[in-house]
Amino acid sequence: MTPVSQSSNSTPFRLGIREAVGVPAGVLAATYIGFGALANGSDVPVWAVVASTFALWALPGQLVMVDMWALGAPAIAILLAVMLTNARFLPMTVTLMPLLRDRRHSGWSYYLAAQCVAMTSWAICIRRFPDMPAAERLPYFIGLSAALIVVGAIAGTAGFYIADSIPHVMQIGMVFLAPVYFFVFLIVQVRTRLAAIALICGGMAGPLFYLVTPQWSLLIAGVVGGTAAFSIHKLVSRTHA
Amino acid sequence: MRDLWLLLLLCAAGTYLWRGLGVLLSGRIVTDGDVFTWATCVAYAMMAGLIMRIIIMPTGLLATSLLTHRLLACGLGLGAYYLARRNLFVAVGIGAVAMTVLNYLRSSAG
Repeated sequence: MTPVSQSSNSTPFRLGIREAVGVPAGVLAATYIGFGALANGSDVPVWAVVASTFALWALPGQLVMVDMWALGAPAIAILLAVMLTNARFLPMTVTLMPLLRDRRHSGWSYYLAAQCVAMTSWAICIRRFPDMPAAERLPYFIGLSAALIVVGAIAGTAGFYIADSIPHVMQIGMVFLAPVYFFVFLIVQVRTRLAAIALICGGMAGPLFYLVTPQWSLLIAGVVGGTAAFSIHKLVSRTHA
Repeated sequence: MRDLWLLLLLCAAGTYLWRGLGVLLSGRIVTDGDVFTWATCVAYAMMAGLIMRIIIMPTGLLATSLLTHRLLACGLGLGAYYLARRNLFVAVGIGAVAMTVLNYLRSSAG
């Protein structure tokens, strides 16, 4: 029995903030420091680092946007690439929302919570929610996400300014934080053959299409590499069925 | 400045579209159909494409480092992840430190 009171609403919120501080926030801070440094090196202003953190709240999408903008890609190509990179939020939100629902919350609060859906908080909550009363999950999720977003914005700003004031050799280590994070993360989180094929196809298509058309390469690499992976997966499944 | 504000707003709206649709559709659709599978493939491929391009053909500051050093640093990061009992923080730290050290050795040798 969970008592319905002011404190029952603020406690899971604070618990969320507390549990954000640790390895998840540490890794996130490191990658956002790297993102800030990369943005600095691509002549992207610091306000865009902060604004994109609050408005997009998706580091892969932010990286895609900054990278393509620096390459001078057309706006429509950037928008499409960012949307395709972030399309994963649809299934992620669809699977998370039923766990957040409770008749004590108003309908609009789910649309606010949706803006907070991102890889780190999603992975924590999917693991954490089964042991948590349904009514406490939404405030916990908001607290956790708010803390992570603030950490990301501060770390991005710090990375942007630190990159200017440290020796050249260390700057290279800093701008390498985000690429090495995604390199390791993408490889170690592979659980299915499909994901492995998609990573290999995309990993080859990215550099190859860059040689042909730098500004459109990411979009084409994603669609061609992804479709190739999907087709290979279908073919293999059929022959083994 | 080529209207970065406008681009940012468009990208934010395009990103929220998926999240908002997710709330709207939750409980009404199955997420294991072919369309979702294809979209997952495209998202994975695009991320892998971006990261491999940054590692193999970087622009900006990273372009001043050697390809072999970038690949070695990535490999060390990956190895550190498993040696540190699957700790991503250690992996990222080792990768970045390796990159810094390799570049320092090269610049002091040359």
